[in-house]
Amino acid sequence: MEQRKTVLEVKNLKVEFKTDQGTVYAVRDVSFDVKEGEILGIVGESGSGKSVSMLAVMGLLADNGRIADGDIIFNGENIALKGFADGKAYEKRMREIRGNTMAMIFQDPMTFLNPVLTVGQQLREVILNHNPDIGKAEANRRTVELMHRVGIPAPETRIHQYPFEFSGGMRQRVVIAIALANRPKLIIADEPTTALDVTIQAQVLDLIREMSVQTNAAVIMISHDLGVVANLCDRINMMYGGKIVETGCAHEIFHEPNHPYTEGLLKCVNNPEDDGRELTPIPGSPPDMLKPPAGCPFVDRCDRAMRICKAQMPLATECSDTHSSACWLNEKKRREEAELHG
Amino acid sequence: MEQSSEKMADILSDEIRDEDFELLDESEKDSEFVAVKGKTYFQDAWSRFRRNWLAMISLAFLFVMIVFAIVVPILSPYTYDGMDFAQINALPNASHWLGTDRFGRDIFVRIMYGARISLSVGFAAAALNLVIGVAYGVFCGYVGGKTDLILMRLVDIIYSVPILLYVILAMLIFGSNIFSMMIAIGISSWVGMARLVRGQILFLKEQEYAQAAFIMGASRARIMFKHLIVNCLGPIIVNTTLIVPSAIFTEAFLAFVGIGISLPQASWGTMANDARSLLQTQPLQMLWPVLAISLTMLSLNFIGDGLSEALDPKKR
Amino acid sequence: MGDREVIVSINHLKTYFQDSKGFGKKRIIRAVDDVSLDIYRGETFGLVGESGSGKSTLGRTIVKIHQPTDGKILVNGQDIATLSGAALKKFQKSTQLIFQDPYASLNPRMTVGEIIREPMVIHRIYPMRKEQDERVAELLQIVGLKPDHILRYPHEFSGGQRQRISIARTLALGPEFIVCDEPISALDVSIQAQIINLLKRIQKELGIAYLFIAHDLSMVKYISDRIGVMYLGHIVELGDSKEVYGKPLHPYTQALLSAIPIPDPDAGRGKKRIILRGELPSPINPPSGCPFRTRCPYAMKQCAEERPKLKEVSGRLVACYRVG
Repeated sequence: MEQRKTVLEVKNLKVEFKTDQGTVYAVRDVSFDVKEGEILGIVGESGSGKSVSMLAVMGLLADNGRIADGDIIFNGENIALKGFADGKAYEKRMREIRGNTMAMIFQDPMTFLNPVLTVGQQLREVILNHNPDIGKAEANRRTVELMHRVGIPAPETRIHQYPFEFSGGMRQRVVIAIALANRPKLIIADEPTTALDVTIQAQVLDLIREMSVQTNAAVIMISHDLGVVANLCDRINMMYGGKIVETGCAHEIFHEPNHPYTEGLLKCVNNPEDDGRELTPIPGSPPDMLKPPAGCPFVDRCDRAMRICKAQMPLATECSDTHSSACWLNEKKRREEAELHG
Repeated sequence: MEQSSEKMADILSDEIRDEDFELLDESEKDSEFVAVKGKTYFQDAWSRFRRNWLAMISLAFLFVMIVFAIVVPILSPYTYDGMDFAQINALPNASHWLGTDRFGRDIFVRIMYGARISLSVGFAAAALNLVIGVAYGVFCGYVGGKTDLILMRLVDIIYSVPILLYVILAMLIFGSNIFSMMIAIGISSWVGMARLVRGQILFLKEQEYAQAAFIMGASRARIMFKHLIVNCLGPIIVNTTLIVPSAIFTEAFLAFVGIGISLPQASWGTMANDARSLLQTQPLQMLWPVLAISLTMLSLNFIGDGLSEALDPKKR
Repeated sequence: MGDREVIVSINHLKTYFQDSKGFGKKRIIRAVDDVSLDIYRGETFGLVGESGSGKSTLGRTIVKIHQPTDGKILVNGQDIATLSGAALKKFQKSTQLIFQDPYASLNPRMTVGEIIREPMVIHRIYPMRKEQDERVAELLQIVGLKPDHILRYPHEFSGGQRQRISIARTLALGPEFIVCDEPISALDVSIQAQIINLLKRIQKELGIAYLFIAHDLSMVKYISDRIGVMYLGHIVELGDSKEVYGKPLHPYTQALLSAIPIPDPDAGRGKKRIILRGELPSPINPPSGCPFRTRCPYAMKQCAEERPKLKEVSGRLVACYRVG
């Protein structure tokens, strides 16, 4: 594989939210990177910090949230809040980046599209915002071309329609067209198909994959659906309790899972092509991020939890060049092997 | 994630003993914890309200105002109509804290009498508004259909009649006193509450917990009281709180233009009207009633805002 | 299967809604259009379809939230439209519904104890408060919660825990049949399996029949004995779950099943998928003839003329001219 450029590198990211009940430690020391042309999946349950970590990257945290620590290096530039003189400079720079080199696709296209503007106007606005000197005719031409590229039939007439005249799947295509408008380096997709029906989901996932190949942009796909991630992503980060507990290539995660959470999650989903297998649920509920556990966040639900797991967070163990997992069982195994060999 | 396993082993081997790798017992895990300590909706709302200092100051102010309005006219040596010709148009002094007016009447006592009238008009209008508005709104929202349509058009008609007409009508029937003010303001203001409650009920009855109760076979009354009304208490309370200042303002305005409470009874509106002629020479006499009206209105509005923030479930 | 006892029998059910938007012309939404099916005691009948297929409306018509426009629903042999008095009470005890959204289906102002106790209070079973409390504790234990949770409020629980509270409430009256209306769609993956296994366990212990409505096809396959595939208010295929999944006959079922994302990177990527063009037509203005013909890769002239009837093909029912 040729050397690919790293588009986004997140180092030791910590995100906190101030709430009525206290501070929620939503993301606790997360590091990862994405290269161009790569599709990275982030899998986790609600409250695992998967969406929050990406909102932090995009600079879209809610008012009560802040990046407590860490670096976010995008395209060679540190875009974590601490890299800027003040909040204003940060906001300004993030507005330039968003919708330009960094694009987003959200779960519900209706919240993203403006209901009183036609689809064509919205697309043109995004193009003109970041390329003010291309002229209206050229912007129009690009708008039609973009809509054609994302598979919207008859784009010349549909640019004059309003979002409510589009069906759910078509709206998501419009959002993808907006995301692609300025040839982004990074596309962040937060559960883009969760609100869609399964036959439409298949269409949209195909489109996302095709776009990633065509534009060579890096794609970060946030999802709770293991099926979606398995089919789309090259690499997968498993998040639990605000931490990345395991990371690896798709086949490593699905065929050689190391962390008990990953293993457990795979046993929770039914593979419709594999008959007669029983589902084994993970007992209990996710941890309370107001008081995140000192040790492994998964300890209370793990069937192989040990004393040490309660007390201390395990460091990552490398299973291969691309695969690493943060679990004490690896250390236990290493000790047993060491003992065996004298 | 960059730590290699060899390095990790170095760090760990001296600190962590093999015993630490014993399996945890099930009883040592806490996977079915329940996050937050049990707090009812209103306890929760109160704790949010308490943190809103503007609303808390307003609440304290209102409390002091009410206590003064009750106590001052009883304890004070002066009455609202007792004239002291030795001290006419006096400035604030030790015996008359806020001075006297052109008849030598004690302004402080009159302001507190005015507070009695203003506050009782405000609260009575709010109470009337609460009873009629909520009952009407709940009925319309729950019954729905044609009945709702007809009843809501009736509301539109009531709403289209100007308040002045109600006041004049009430005064014709009950005479020119505080009671007709209460009735008139109450009648003209419940319409907004009815509309609000109807909208809430229409929304809430489609909620799944209301449908769940229906499937279980709950009676209409049970669904209405146990599931619907309890869940729109928040907006009802906020709306009621905001009715009080608007009623107070209406009363003061009407009194100022000479409708309603008759002299020599003191209302903030009549006092302001009284002081108008002396505005050039005795501006302080105008200041007191105006200050009383604005501070009361402000504090009630702050309380209303604070409540709506504290009770709004979306802010959870 | 023929000798098993039918608990719910749906005959030519139609549930239409009137769209009152706009002036004058009222438009009819044909949410459920001529559906017949039987559900047997103790079985799980899975109902799948895209949003707008009418599957939820069907479920809600059975529990009387919606009024049927035409057709009959028999529960335990009795027409539910004509029930009153004691028979109605009996129906209410025997038939329950679990909602999709565990945040909306529990009254936020009631404690867990009050929520689970409510059906007992309504039907005046267990007149003594002590008995009620014991029953609540027992129900909480069945769904894996602790008895000391009864004084807590719903918002203090996680999504999965709330869904279990909701299940405990439906069990309070000892139902024989429960409509599960997408009970796991709003939950996390690790919690979905908990709820599914809980529902399975309850079924085994108490012999309750389920109508399991979902759009997650892999989970429906796991829990269902038989499944029905709905499209635009019609059932297009109905049969044994394993057989339908193993060899779907109706082109829509084929497309639907091929679109399921397989949680396995190797199997999933090699899989041949039928990508359907376009989207679900509007139930206000359904296509003539076969409802699926506008998206069907095999549509023929005949499909536009008359709607194909469900007919029996190798032990199951399929509505397609190409099959059988």
